[in-house]
This record gives sequence, structure tokens and C-alpha cells, in this order.
Amino acid sequence: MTRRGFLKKTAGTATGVVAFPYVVRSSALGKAGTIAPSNRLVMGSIGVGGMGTGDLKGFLNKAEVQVVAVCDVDSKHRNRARDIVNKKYGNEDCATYNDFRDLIARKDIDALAIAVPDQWHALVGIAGARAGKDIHAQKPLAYTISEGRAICEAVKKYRIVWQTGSQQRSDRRFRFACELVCNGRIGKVHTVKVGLPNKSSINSVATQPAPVPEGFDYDMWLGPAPQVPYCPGRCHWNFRWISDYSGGQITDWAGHHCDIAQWGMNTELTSPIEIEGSGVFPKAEDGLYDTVEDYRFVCKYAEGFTMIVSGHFPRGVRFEGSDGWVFVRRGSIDAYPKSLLNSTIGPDEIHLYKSDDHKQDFLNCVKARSEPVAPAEIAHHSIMVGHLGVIAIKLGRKVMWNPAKERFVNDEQADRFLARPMRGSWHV
Amino acid sequence: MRTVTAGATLLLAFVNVSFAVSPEEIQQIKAAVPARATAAPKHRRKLLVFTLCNDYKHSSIPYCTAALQAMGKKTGAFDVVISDNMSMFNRQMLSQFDAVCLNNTTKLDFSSAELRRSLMDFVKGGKGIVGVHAATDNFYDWPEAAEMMGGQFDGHPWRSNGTWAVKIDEPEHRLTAAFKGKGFKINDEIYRIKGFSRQKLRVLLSLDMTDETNLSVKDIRPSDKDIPISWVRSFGKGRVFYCSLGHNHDVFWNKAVLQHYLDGIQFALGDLEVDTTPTVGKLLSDIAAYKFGQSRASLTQMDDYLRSVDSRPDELKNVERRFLELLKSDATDAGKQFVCRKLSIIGTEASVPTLAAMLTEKATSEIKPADTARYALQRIQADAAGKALRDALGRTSGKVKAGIINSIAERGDISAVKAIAALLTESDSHVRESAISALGRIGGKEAAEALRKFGATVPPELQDVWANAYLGCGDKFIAEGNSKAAMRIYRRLYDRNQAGAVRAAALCGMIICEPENAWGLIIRTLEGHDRKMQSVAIGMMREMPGGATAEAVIGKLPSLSVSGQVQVLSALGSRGDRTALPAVLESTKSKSADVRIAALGALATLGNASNVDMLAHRAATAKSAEQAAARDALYRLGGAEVDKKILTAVDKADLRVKLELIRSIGRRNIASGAETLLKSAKDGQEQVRLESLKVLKDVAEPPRLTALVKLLLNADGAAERAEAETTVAAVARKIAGDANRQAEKILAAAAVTKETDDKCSLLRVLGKIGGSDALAVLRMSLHNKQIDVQTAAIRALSDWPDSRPMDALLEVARNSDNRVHRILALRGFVRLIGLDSNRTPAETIKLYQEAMGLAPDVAEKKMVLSGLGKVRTLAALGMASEYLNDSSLSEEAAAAVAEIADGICGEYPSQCSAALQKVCSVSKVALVRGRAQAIIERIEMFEDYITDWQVSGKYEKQETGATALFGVVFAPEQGDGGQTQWRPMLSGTDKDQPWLLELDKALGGSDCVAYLRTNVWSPTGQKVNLLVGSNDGIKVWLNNKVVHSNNIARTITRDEDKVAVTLLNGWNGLMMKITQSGGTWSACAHFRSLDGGKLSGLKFTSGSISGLDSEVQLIGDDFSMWRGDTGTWQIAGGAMMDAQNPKRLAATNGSGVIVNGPKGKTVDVLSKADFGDVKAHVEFMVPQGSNSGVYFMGRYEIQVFDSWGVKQPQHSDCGGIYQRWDEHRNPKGYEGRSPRVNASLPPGQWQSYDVIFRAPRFDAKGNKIANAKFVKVVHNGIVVHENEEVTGPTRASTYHDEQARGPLMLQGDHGSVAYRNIRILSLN
Repeated sequence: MTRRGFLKKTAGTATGVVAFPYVVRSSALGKAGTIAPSNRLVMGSIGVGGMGTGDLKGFLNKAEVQVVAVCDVDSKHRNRARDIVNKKYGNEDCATYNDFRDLIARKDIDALAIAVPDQWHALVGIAGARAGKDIHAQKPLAYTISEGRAICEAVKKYRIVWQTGSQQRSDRRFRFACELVCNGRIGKVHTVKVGLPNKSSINSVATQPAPVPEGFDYDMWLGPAPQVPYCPGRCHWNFRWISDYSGGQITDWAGHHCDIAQWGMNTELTSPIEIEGSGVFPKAEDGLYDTVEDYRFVCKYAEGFTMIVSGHFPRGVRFEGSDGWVFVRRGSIDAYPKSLLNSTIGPDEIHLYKSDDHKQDFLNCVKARSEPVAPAEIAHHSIMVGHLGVIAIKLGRKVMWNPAKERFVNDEQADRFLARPMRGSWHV
Repeated sequence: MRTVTAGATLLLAFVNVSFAVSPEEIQQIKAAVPARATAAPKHRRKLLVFTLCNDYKHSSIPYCTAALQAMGKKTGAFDVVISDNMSMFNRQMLSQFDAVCLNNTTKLDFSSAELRRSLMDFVKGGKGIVGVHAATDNFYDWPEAAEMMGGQFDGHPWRSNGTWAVKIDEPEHRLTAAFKGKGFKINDEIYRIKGFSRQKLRVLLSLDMTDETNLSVKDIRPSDKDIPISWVRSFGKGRVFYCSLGHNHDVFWNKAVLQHYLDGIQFALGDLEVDTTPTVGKLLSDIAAYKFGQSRASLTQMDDYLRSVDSRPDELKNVERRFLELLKSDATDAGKQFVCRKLSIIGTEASVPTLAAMLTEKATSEIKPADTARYALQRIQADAAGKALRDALGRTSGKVKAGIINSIAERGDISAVKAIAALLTESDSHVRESAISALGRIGGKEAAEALRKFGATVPPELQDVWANAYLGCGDKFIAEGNSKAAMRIYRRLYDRNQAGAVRAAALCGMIICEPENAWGLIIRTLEGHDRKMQSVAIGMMREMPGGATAEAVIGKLPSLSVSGQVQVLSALGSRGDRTALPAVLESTKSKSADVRIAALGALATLGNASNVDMLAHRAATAKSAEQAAARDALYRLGGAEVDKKILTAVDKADLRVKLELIRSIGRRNIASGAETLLKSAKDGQEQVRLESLKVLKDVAEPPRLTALVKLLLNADGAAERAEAETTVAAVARKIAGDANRQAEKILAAAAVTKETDDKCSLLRVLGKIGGSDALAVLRMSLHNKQIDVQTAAIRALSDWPDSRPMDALLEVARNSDNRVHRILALRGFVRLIGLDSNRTPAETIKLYQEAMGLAPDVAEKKMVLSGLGKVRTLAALGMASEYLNDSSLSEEAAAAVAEIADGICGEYPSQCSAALQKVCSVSKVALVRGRAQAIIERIEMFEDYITDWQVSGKYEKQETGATALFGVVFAPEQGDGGQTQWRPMLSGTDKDQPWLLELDKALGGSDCVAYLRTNVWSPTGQKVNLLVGSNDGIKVWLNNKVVHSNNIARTITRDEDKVAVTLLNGWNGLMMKITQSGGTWSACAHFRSLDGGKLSGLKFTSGSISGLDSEVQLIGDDFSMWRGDTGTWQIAGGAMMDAQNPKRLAATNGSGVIVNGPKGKTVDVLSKADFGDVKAHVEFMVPQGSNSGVYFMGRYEIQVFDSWGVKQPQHSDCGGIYQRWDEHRNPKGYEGRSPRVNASLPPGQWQSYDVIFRAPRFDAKGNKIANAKFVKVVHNGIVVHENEEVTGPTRASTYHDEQARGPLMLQGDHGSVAYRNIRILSLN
């Protein structure tokens, strides 16, 4: 039995049908705020820009967590995060790191919150897993399919708990929509329409080469990506619109809405078999932003349905079946027939994994050593939809995919997109 | 259209007709050709325009010829010689010309070697060749000439009746200056071109393959990625210009296309020098010079090109070769980096030598050639690439070498193991670290052996790297099925000195390697004291098959630590090990709350009916998380037995447990639980009764109503009574449809109830249900002797779902002796005014004023104002604004103004803005000011969407779904005006997308339809796009005609449907029908120009348009503006004098023109509308000798006649006021007025009248007091009459009397005539 085969079989039963029990509630560990620091989960935050700071604050608000260190290649972010931590605890104890490897090397840290650009996810995440740290990491799972696979292997191999930041899974509306679908309330589903943002949402920052600012470790920021000159518009928020670091809106959002689509269709541990699409690659007059816009791609599944992902649909997921449809997005759910919205999922029906607080779910699972609502393996397959879409669009032709082997079917050229060469001595 | 069947050639030759270009078209062409040559001709140029067709003959040929002739003549750029004689290609003949233009020639016969040599020498020797449209449909057996043209015709999926988006490939190129850098849409036939290459041609225009329409044609192929339309190339010393536009005639009066042709011809002639570097060559030179920070446009274009030639190996091979040349040149680092990225995808073995050389090239900047090259090399699968990487190991060092090792590892190159193993002891840390890792990633016996040996001497700082690599070898062995070898590795790494994570991985590896010993290993680990390894073992247990062996683990449960127990319990739950049930139950009694919670969680999957009592008890007694876990388990326990058990347990349980059990009936939705609940609803304890009633609301069905009413009548205390009332009402409403049926049981009970409290309760329930029977009972109850019953009736009527009880409440508010009743009734009255009604806005405001008058104090006045805030009308805005200055009420007024404006800002943006500005200055409440400001901002966000609508509906039909309702004709579609109730539509209700018309908010409901209507004023007749979005289906009428129909269920996407429509000059009626299948329900609409730009000058009003400037356009695309019989009058796109018979007009397809049929003799037509005083514009065309007339009010004629060249015009000539006629007079004809001058144009040309006409005037008794008068008649811009009175109808008038108003009439029985653009502006 291979490690993979083993994993697929069990993961299917672990999250597909049967709900995990509640495990350890924070309040069960003692009255809120009275947990002795020695009994708390010790955490470090790697990457504390916008998203990372949000995650950090989320964990600081958990009584059973003690954050002891923050890491960022930008001293501004690093110091800001340190101050937030110190203010919270009323001390000066928070350590700061420029190099994630130094933070990971600390034996007293149990768990990591990782929010770094996509292209770094595998390197930081796998290093953390090798050190036995449990990890809450932002979506998308990884920059390439092969790096995503490597994360899954490391998580399984080093027995760590991994929660991906696809927090829509911890939202009752999304869960309910998926329960309606997987319990057959709309009949046989033939089409799933996934609407993602269409255009890159670029922050206006200078895009011409410039000296690297003091306190910013640009070489470390680039990491495995090709060497290019620094400019302010390249780093931080805008990395998403540059193909060296991310796949643009598609991979930024596939980890949310494609994730939900796969959840509802019970295909969260497989992927499409045929992908075709098109989009517009910007002329990038600014010299930087080259990820696809105005896109649309169509995925066919062996399970007999089609998923259409487009920048022109309303944002959210729309499941269309023989007996009705369900549309769910952040903050609202709609269905036809309308009565579906009042239906109760009975005790003998499929109840999906129930989490109403994404970070709490992670902490619970760390204690129970169980798989959270958005584990690596599932996140890997969710973002795979996005990666496959981007690859099909880049190739400009239909591609056939083998979900079991995670390779294209007799398509040497498409296979080249699965892994990327890395700069200097970086490797997974 | 083109035919490719060779066999049809002969036939075609017979059916070919000569195509004539009409004089009018010649005019059009002449007007459209450029005025000046782009470049001054170096000397007098001669262009041979060749038109021979041996296959399909395009009817556009004479148009093209005419255009070229006109172009040459007007600009002086060239002289044209036209021929279809092949002898023109003889060397001597050809030598007279500077260029040849193949004007849609097909299958030219160049079988003569002499002619071939002659044409080839002509072009290669430095002359030019120009191809128009079918010029690429030649030379199928002469490859060299095909090559010269640049490509060949390969079908035309983009047909001549479509409109296609064209993109400018080279916006900066001199030959595309005509298009000003902007892509365009054109109606023409576009060729698919085969055998072309952007490596040879400079493509100027091509089909925009991101355009949906271009992509959705029928015969498109997956390979249709690049469809060039226009290009240039150098050929020998000569010049080639081709453009595939030119199938449709009107292309030759398209100014931009003509300019493009002129420029292309001037290039071919040798007068206009342009860059002919092939597209790819140009891109490559741009890329070679590309620097970071510059526009990536050329890089993106190269990507697009590579995508377009994806299936053309020859093109790819060539471009790869040119990429390699670039890498060897002194191109920029950025350019080389880009090229290597491309090679990483398209590169083949051919790239390897060049890339290999870069691996050892010295870096001159921070962009290292080795990294750049490796980017491509790593991904090229060819063995040669692997060899190049291996070979470079010996010649590199440091990070470069480490990178190469990593690439080798990524390739899984097992033949490199030996070389890499030799590097384990290298001094450079990067190299060493990479080498160790690489061996783990490649795996295999040799790598494992090298790592095993290295393990003895591994320095501490590399311990983790080594252990991870060695683990990697173990994993690879498992994958290969070599468990034995893997086991050796795991055993060695499961060593206390190793890091925890490594040991965890090793333990897990061992368990996988030996499944037969797995449980033993797990148990042994659990017996040990290493917590971390225990966790690993428990985690593995989750994934292990086998039930019986799990028992051993279960036995260990009590001996484990708290966290160990939690983990095991969680694992047992997820495994679904039912044998673990006793142990899990035991754990629910643990001293540790964590363990108890985990055990309860496991019970949710493992438990059964026997656990119900315990779980209910625990749910009743435990606190917080443990309680939640117990409840969750109780709600999730599987099996019908569980339901039964819960129902039987209710009776005997004590209070708190009973409550939990009752609650679980609801959460489990146990339909059979109603009986139990009806019983428990009579329980001795109030809490139980309340909880039971609550759950009954969800679980009970209508058959239980009688029992529920009984419960209500027996209710004890206010709380229980209130709960019971809600429950009864909720269950009654479950009866489908009619509210009277829903109220039946309650009415029956009310009839026999004596108790006051019960009566009141039932009245309140009736109030919640509605229905006319209930209403009658409530009205009666207002006069009940008992005050409490009256109060209940007032309250119930105040809650009534519609406004019917308003009069009753007003009566109480006015006349009751009881002050409390008066106030209650007033409040109810105000609430009911706010509900939907058929009142006019003015009537509604009157009611509020009435309420305001009845309000006894400021508090009640405030209440009225707040009610007024819910009225979304302009009148309400006005009334609320009045109170802004009343200091005691100004804040309520401000809030009301904001509330009203929120609803009607779409309809009355300017009035709302003004009122809101005042709110901002008056209100002291920041929240209200903020809201006012936000609405002001929202008004600005409407963009050009139409926000002023009236709505009608919703319309339903029993048991008819939305899809079927789409076709059902409701009142608004029947055009019966008065029948339909229209109300203002609230717009701007969605703050983020204020243009969205939210019908669900306005109307609600499912399986129904609504209609939206408004009026659109257009300053001119114009073709525009109507862009609509809808949720769900949509049908659109413009001027009472269906222009769009899409029966669909969908969510809203703005501009999802695009409909080309014609807006008439003046007011146009627009109506939309929107279906609702369920969920959200909305629509949005706006007009845009055909190219997507915003339209200026459009006005919208959903209200009445009478009294507004209304110019009417009488001629559109049908006869809807005309009365009854229109004989043989026909709608046409244009008219021209028939070449065969100059006394007749020939009509062309289209709309906007009417022609009185082929014979020129049919009925007169009269406008539907009657007019009085008017300002009229009329355009007409007559052929030779023909006659017609324009009759104002159907009575007073201005003559239409072919009077071209008449020196002394009479009243019977064009422009004359035709004479009246009286048989008894002498002469019989009288009062005819000749035009002052003959302003006529030749027959077959469009002419115009502009007339100001004054209708006759009559007194109250109907006696005429003033004659009709032509105040001014202008013919073709020249005034021909002023202030001419006419005493009565003209001779051929339709009517013999005189009236204040009448229709416009056009004479149709005196000869051929065409009319267009008749615009009537009413002046009174």
C-alpha cells in the first residue's frame, strides 16, 4: 500500500460523509483567559502583511494560543506585528525574524500561521511540516500542482495538522448549500457555475525599477522566483497579478469558490478530466502585471458534470441540477425551488463537516490530532481546478487530465507547467 | 458568398449577371474616398485593376473598381486601368504598371510558364501587388505565387451577414493609421487563411478572437486562433499588400477601410514606405531590447503568437531557432529571461546546446545566465537536457551548482546519483545541502546506500536535512513495493536521537510497511510514554482498516493521558467502530470534561437509541461545550429507532430532560412527533407547554388545527396564549392558497367561544391570517360590547395584511369615545396607508394629511411622519419636506425625507438631491445626515442605467411555473391601458449596485411575473444596443413590439443580453416582462451605442409623456404608426430608380423607408395619430414622371412630383399647394399655389420638405373661425411658400369636411414614390 493510496481512501471517509465530533472547546480547557501560558498552544506567524496580520489577530484572540514570534522580510510589517502581539500580552516578549527558517528552528513553537505570497507556500509550509509544526496556511495551497502535492505528502508524512485558509468552509451558508446539493435536493447536478473576480485588482504603486528600501529583504522576498529588479509595485498586495508569484484572480479565488463547488459535488479529492478555456492576457504597459483577465474555462468531470469558471458570472457558486438550483456566495444563499432554503437535513442524511469558526476548528484539530475542515489534501484538489484552468488558458487549447496520476494525458508540453524551476539554491 | 465546388464554375459563368453600381452609390463612394494621397506620388503611377474570375464572381467587384477609380482620381495617387484579360500579364503589358491589384479574382489560370515568369519578375523586381478579398482564392497550383500573396483562402465561417470585431495588430503602423489605433466592428465576410506565417508577414489587422461573437460562429475550428485580415510583406525587391475586407458592397464606402486600401496601394506602388518586418521578427527585435519596467505588450503578443501556432510544429521549430539566436546575441537580460521562459514550454532538444553553454557563462549582472538557462533546461524532457545538466556539475560551483543539482533532482535523473553522491562532502554548504536532498528526492538503492553511509558522519547542522532525505528514500521504496528496504530506513530513523517529526514519519512509515504488525505497533506505542509518538499512533489508527484489532486499543483507553483519550475517542468516532460503544459510553463519565466532550462527540456516530436517555439527560444538565456536544449527538443519532425512543421518552422525563427531548423533535424534524407534542403541550409545567407549542409550529400540519385551537383556548397565561396564537396562525397558513380556508377553523371556533380572552385570542389569530370572512368578523367585533374585544379587533385590523380595514379604523380614530382606541386605530390606519393600494399618490397624501390632523400630540404626529417615510412618492417627499422647518418635527421629517428619497431617487433623482441637501443642513442627527449624503452619492452611481420605471404585477397563475408564465399574456401585454395597474418601481435599493431593479424587494414571490415600463426620449432616430440583465426570464417591448425574448432561469448579470434596437426620434415606449422562478428577482437595463459608448441626450420618464416635447417619427421598421390598410406599401432600407424602368423605384432590404409597391399604384396611407398644428419634416423620392402628395390633416396637400428641370412651376409641380376642386365653379380648379421657385432635384434622388402648418380654428359651436394655413413650406432647403391660407380640402382629399385635428396622409395611387424620415412635432 502506498502512502498516497492509503491517504485517499481514508480522507474520503473522514470528511466526505461523517461529521467529526466536537473535540476540545476552548471553554472546556478552563475559563476563557485563565489558561496558564504553559498550557497554551505556542504559535509563530510567518508573513505578516495584510492577510497575515489578520490571521495573527485572529489567533491572538484565542485564549488557548500564545503567539511568541513573528517573521517577515519587510521590517515594517514585522515590527508592526510585533507591536500588536506585545500590546495584546502587555509585555515585550515577541521575537522577530527575517528568515522563516530561524523561526521554525525554535523548538518551543508548536504551530505556525503562514500568510506569504503563493510562490512561497510550499517552501515555508514543508519546512514547517518537517519541523513537526501544525500549520494554518493561507490559500491557495501552493503555486504549482507539484508543490501542492509535496505539501500534502509532507503533512501526511510528518503527521501534522494543516488547515488551509479557505474559511468559506466554516460558514454555515456555504455548508448548507453543499448539504442541499450532496443530499440530492436539486436532483442530479449537471452544471456548476463558479463566478470569480474578473479583472486584476491592482493597487496603484510605482512599477519602475527602484532601489530596494531599507529594511526590506528583497532577495528573500523573491526566494525561488526568477531574479528581476525591485520595484514597489511588484511586492506585497500586487504580487497576485504577476505570474512569477501567483496565478492572478483565478488562483486567488479558486481556493474559495472552486473549493465550495468541489465540496458540494463530493469531488473534493479528485479533479476534472478535461479542461478548456480562454482569457485575455493584459498588455502590461506598466511592465509588470501579466496574469489572465476576462477568463472563462470549462472543466468536465468523470462524475458526469461540468464546472464552468468565469470572471463574468456573479461571484459565488451556482449548482444547477435536474430539480432546481442553489446559488451561494458570501453573505447570501438563494435556491430554486425557494422551499429548499427552509429544508432540514435529517439525522440520516449527509452532514458535512461542521465548523463555524475556521481558526477554532484548527485549534480543536490540533488537540484531537484530527483533520480540519480545509486540510491540505482537499485544498490541493480545490486549487488544482484553478491551476488547470490557468494552464489550459496559457496553452490556448483543450487539455486532458488524469486525476489519479495528477498528470496530463499524453501531453508532455502541458506537464511542464506542473512544477517550476527555482532560482539559486532554493528547492522543495 | 463564395462557392468552392469546382464543378460549379461553368454554371456560375452562365448565371453571372452584370452588377451595376447605382449613381447614388457612386456618389456615396466618391464622398467616402480620401481627399488626399497619404504620400505624394514620386511620379505618375499606374495601377492595373484585374477582375477576372474563373470561379465565384463577387458582386462587389464593380464597387471596388469604382472605389479605386474614384480614389485615384480624387487623390491623384494613381491612374487605374481595368482589365479581365490575361494578356495583361504579358511582360510588355505589365511593364507599364507600378502595381497590380487583384480585385476579387478567383482561380486565375496561370498555367502559362511565360505569364508566371512575367508576374514573378514584376513583383520580385521591385513592383507591387495588391489583393482585395478573394485575391487569396488563386494560385492553388502555383506555390510560389501563393507564398507571395502570404496565404490562401480556407473557408469563411464569419459570413457576410454578420458583424465581426476586428483588432488592430499594429496600432502604430503607418498602414493602420486609418483606424486611429482602435479596433472596430464590420459587416463583411472574413476569410480563414491557411499557409500564412507571422514569421513572414507583417499582420496589420486580424479577427479579435477574444470577441464572443467571433468565437461563436458555426463552422469555427479549434485551430482558428489567428485569423489575419490585412498584411504587408516584402517579396524579393517587391511589395505585397492584402486585405480580406471587400465582400459586401458597403465596405467600399467605409471611409476607414478606403483609407487603409489607399495607404496599402501607395505602399505597393512604392510611394509610401512602411515597415514590412514580419510580425514575429518585429516582436523578436523588441524582445531583444526589452528592459524591466517597459511595457510587456510585445511579450504578451509573443505569447499570443505562440498560442496561435500551438498545433503548427514547423512554426514552432522556426521560432525556437530564432529564440536561440536571440540568446546568443547581446539581447538584454530581461529579453533572454523571457525567451528562456518560453523555451521552458516549447523548447526541444535543439535548444539544449545553447542553454547548456549558458550554464557556465559568467554572470555580468544579478541576472545569472545559469539560472536563466536552467529555467528552460529543467523542463525540457529530452535526455540531452539531463546530460547537459550533469555535465555542468563539474564545471560550476556555489549556488549555481546547487541549482543544477536541484534541477537534476526535480527531473528525477537516476543516472546522476553517482555524481551527486560524490558531492555529499563538498565544502560549499549550498551544494552539500542540495546534494543530500537530491538523493532523497531521486531515491533508489544507490541513493539510499550513499545516504546510509553518509549517515555515520553527518555533521549536526545537516542532521535534519539528511534524515529527511533518507526518509524520502524510504517513501520511494514503499512506492516501488520494496517494504523491506523501506523498513530498514524507518527503523534506523525511529531513533530517540532523531527529531520528533522524523521519528513520527518513521513510525508512520513502519506501520505502513508492515500492515500485519500495524496494530501491535500502535498498541506498543500507546503503552510507551512518548506522548508525541502516541499521537502519531492514534492518528494512524484513524486510517487503519480492521475492526476487531481496534478492541485492543479500546482497552488501553483508560490508561491514556487526557489528550490521548481525547484523540482516541475522536479517532473511534471517525472510524465508526461500533464495538467501541461501551468504552465510549464509559468515557462519557470521565472526570475530565475534555474526555467527556470527545466521548459525546464519538457517540454522534457510534450511538443508537439506547443512548437517548443519557444524551438527553446530559444535554439537560451539562454546561456550555459539553451541553452543546450532548445536544449535537442527540440531534444526529441515526436511525428511526432513535425517533421512536425520543417520542416515548418525553412523557416520563422530568422537566429539563423533557425540554431537551422536545427540542430534539424539532431539530430532528420528527414529523410523527405532533401527537406527542400535542400531549406535552398540556403538561403541568408551563415551560414544557411553551416549548411544545414552539416545536409544534414547525412539526404540526393543518389536520392538527382543531387540536391546536383547543390548546389555544385552554392556554394559561399571557405567554402561553401568545405562543399558541403564533402556532395556530403558522399552522393555519400551511393550508395552501385561499386565506378564507386558512381562517375557517378559527372562525368556527370564534363563533362558539364565549370567553372574552379566548375571543380576543382568536381575533388576533384571524388578524395574522387574513381573508374576507375573517375581516367581516373583525369589523363586527369593533362594535362588541366588551372593550377588550374591541381592543383586540382594533389591533387585529391594524395588523391586517392589506388596506381594506382602513375605513373602519379611520372611523374609530375619528369617533371613538375611548382615547386609547382612537390612538390605536390611528396607528393602525397609518400602517395601512403604507400598504399597497390602487390610490393615486395625491389620494395617499390626503390620507396622511387626514392622519396628521387626527394626531392628538407631537408623539403621534411623529408616528404619522415615520409612516409617511414608507410612502415612496414625490408627493410624500413634498409633504415630508414641509415639516423640515417645524422645529418639533424636523428630525422625524428629515428621517422621512431620507427614507422616501431612498426609495424614489431612481425615479426623481434631481428632486431627491434637492430635498436631501436640505436634510443635510437641517438635521442634527449625524446618522440621518450620513444617510442623506449616501443617497446623494448613490444617485451619482446610477451611471446611465434606467432607474425611472413603473412596475405592474406580480402576475401569477395557479400551478403555472415561471417558464410557462413567460408565454402567458397578462394585462400589460394586451395594450388595454386602463386595465393595468402601474406603480412606481423603487430603484437604487441595492447600495452597491443602485442601477439594479430589485423586484423581490418590490413585490416578492415566486413563480410569477412582473412588468416594468418607462418612456425613452431619443434626440434622433438611431440604432442602438439595449443592454439588459435579468433574474430570471425577460421579454422586452420597444414601441409595442417584442424586441427581445429570453426564457431562462438565472441570476442577475448586468448587460448579459444585448439587443440591437432602433430608437425612434422622440418618445419611445419601453416595457420589460421579468419572470420569477424563485429566490432573488431583479433586472437592469440601459442603452448604449453600437460600439458600446455612452449615449448622450436620452431622457427617461415612467410617467405620462403628454405635454412633453413629442416629435413623432412615422417611419420605422413596420407600419405600426399607420392606420389599417397599407396596400402594397412596403418597408425598405433604401430606394433607387429602377435601371430597367426609370418610371419605377426599386426597393432594397432594410427599414426606415416606405415604398408604394412595385407598380406604383396602391392605397393612400394615413397616420394613426391625429395632428393639429405641426412642424413637419418629410423626405421623398420619385422616379421619372411620378406623382404623389403629402396631405396635412388628410386634407391639405403639398404636391410631390417629378418636376426636375421645369422652368415655370405650377401648383401641380413639386412644392406646389395643390388646387381645390368644385364642379360648379369655373374654372373648376381653384386656389392652387405655385412654388416660388422650382427647387426640385432629379428623379431618383431624395428630396425634403420642412413645413410649418396651422390647423383651422373653430369656435365652441364648431363654426370655423380661421382657415388652415401653410405658415412655411421649405423644399430642399429653399422657402417656396409663406403664410398661404387654404379655405378647404384639396381636390383629392380623403375628407371633405374640416376638423381641428387629422392624420397625415401620403398619396400612393399616382405613381412610384418612396418616403423616409417623416418627423412630426405637434405645436398645440
